[in-house]
Amino acid sequence: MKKAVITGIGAITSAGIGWKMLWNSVIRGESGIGPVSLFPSQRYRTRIAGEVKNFDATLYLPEKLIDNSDRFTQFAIGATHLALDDSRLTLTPNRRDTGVILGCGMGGLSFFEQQSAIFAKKGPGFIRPTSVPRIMTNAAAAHIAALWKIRGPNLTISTACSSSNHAIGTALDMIRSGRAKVVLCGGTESLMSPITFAAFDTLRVMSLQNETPKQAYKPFDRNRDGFVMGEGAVIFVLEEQAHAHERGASIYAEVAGYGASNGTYKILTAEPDGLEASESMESALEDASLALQDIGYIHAHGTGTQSNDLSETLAIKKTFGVHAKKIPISSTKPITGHMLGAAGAMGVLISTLAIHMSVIPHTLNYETPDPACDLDYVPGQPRHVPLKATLSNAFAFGSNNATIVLRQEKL
Amino acid sequence: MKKSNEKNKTSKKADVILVIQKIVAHQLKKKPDQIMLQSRLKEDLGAESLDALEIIMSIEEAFDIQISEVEARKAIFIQDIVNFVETELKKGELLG
Repeated sequence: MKKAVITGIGAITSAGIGWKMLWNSVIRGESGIGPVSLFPSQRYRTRIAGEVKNFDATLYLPEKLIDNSDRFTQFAIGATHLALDDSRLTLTPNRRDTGVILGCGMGGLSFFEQQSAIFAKKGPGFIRPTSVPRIMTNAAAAHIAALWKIRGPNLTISTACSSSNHAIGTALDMIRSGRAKVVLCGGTESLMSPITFAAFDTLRVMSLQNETPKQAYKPFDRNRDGFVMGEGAVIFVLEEQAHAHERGASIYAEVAGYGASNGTYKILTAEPDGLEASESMESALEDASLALQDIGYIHAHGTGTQSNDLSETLAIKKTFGVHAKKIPISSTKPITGHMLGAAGAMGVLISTLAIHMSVIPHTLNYETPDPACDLDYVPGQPRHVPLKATLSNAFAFGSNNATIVLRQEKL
Repeated sequence: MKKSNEKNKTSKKADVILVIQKIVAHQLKKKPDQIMLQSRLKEDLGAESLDALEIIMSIEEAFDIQISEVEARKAIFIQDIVNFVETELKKGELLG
């Protein structure tokens, strides 16, 4: 079976632009979370977020496209530039063996909200004609394919917070099946707009620790009170192993397995016993042909809500049995905020770099153990550990789950 | 685009040309003096179909007129747009 390897990584996040800056923030425990600045937030319950700062779209996008695209598209194009530079891969135009597969939860809702205000004031005849291609969830993937003249498969997978794990898994399947030799894959999201943020706010899933933004987000901690929204994009250059070797590419890790599952309990709540999430992990491990003890680190979905962290803990126990307590587990969402449709790709980035750097990142702000969450969540500081394989979870509203397994490249 | 510019409702020929130049230039990321009366919207200025729709809508807003699909399709040169806008503005004046 053909293998798929990661040869380039691009990241635009609240905690850094480019994977090196981001990784430094992760290792130093420097959170990108702060007060919301993109719109007035005084009347919201939650007033903090991981906003991307210092992003200069003119470095990455043609001037005309900057005016005609939303942040999620701009972030994705920026991250694609960074990933391709990192991989030293020059994409030959019009190749049909190259694809784009992104995850994105909700698309250009910021522009939709602006147009809604115009509609309310002036009526239907004043909605900008560019609205559809700007708002559509696949706008980012469409523009990436157009800019780099990519003629292979072009998909956008929208399954809320698991979107980009499904995108990476689908890219893996494309390479294994021979449909593509190179796939630009990952995720992008920016939902930092007043109405959409309010929708999450009234759903009461976000932290209320507004006075201490950098300490607010605390996955698996007993005092966790929800997630903090992030935004950004993470894009990988995923290549067929032989293709990467032929051009002498540097390889970070192999994407070795993809698992997916669905729960039948509730749309917004995972099965409390962790069954559906464990089925996702088991499926990914089987796909990677790895034994339980091969996994040296788990990047948890770790949203920091009471119910998710508990059910994920139970799922890990159900999957790994007696090994569960020996496996270091962390969530780096307190560094970047929860990047929603890009969260899976962010987890895969961490799980990839953990192998590449032989370092397991810690869970920032984890201080008070929860008796119900009794695994090793890597408190305090990162650990230097050589890793053979890692696993990264992404679970989503809609009760769907996706897991990616990364492995040190084997010839 | 700044709405204050678009709202310059005027029938003076020079002003009409100026407003249209600004709208087209803004949409196509060009300088207003690159937008000549004899320029063709698509062939010379590189407007795509979506650009044309945005330009039509901005002109409708700026002059408070309506441009039908049939009229829009006839607009090849910038001069065609100017002529159409002037005709519409005159109609408006006659109607008081």
